Amino acid sequence: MSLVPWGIWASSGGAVAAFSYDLLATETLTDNTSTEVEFLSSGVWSDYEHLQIRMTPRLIWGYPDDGGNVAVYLNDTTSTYYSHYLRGNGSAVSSATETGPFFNRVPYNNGTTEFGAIVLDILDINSTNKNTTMRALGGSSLSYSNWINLQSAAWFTTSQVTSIQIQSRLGTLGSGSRFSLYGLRGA
Amino acid sequence: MPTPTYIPLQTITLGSSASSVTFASIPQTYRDLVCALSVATTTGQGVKFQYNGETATANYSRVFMFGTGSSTSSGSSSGDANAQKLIQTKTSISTAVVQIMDYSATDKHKTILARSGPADDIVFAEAQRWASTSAITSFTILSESVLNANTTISLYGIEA
Repeated sequence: MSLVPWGIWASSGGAVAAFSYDLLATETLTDNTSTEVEFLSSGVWSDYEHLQIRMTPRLIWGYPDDGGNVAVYLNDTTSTYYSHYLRGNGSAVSSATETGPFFNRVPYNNGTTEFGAIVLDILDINSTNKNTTMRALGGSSLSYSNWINLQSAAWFTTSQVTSIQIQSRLGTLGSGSRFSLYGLRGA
Repeated sequence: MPTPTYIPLQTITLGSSASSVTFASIPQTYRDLVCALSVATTTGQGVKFQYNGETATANYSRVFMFGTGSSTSSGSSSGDANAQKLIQTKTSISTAVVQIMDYSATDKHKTILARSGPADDIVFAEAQRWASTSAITSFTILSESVLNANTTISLYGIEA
């Protein structure tokens, strides 16, 4: 027996266990017109326990403020969502509650090479007896968008997750923004 | 069609103390890198990541926050020699997971996210930027003091 580094036992003489972490989809935007990127299960997510989204977004909007972020909705945008953040801006740490699944502060239109980054986990996506929770680490180190964020969010619904909508909360998602979806298998 | 990924690329365990560790000739077939560290240093300082041997101070910047158990703080900096500190370490063991996003992209500056901290000291998180559109083909982990023996660093590649 050998322990494969990503955590699955594989028999040296028998069948090898399935990989535990799979790339499911990637969307990279080629223009500045989209306000949303959507991922659909189409039955595939039932094979996984958790999902992870790795994204490098930027927002297109004119106002020279840094209040834009992305919203990550599960199945619908009308259910009750809450999120909390712990955030550093280079001089102080703050924390607050928001009544929506809002993540990060995302760089706004200031250059096509400058993006933020968020790694977001969505846990127990197929459970039908628990509300679904998310957590994320994100940030950007830019003179006009200088943030480090640790966040959690909850979707107060016990439905199985079958779609994910990632939306710009202000303006549109900029070209080059990348959103990759991964599935993590359970034992 | 699901694509298996999170592929282990290399693990380095130090047999003796060293001032730096380099991951070279990183394959360009992935989109992100994840680096997991179990690290101790001879003094309670930190560890820098230097990309492609880049020493131009203007290309590195960071913003961080930490909690000590009784207070929180946030800071930012740029222009340090060689690179910016990314991970907080101590003489006791620290763990860290570093996300190097879009490392193989040639049209983006690189954003790096890290969580670290010696559990008996602080919890620490940081976002860092390497302001270059060059793909990262190597990086060197530089201790501000010395990396202790038995420090273990593993590198994984993630497709997108």
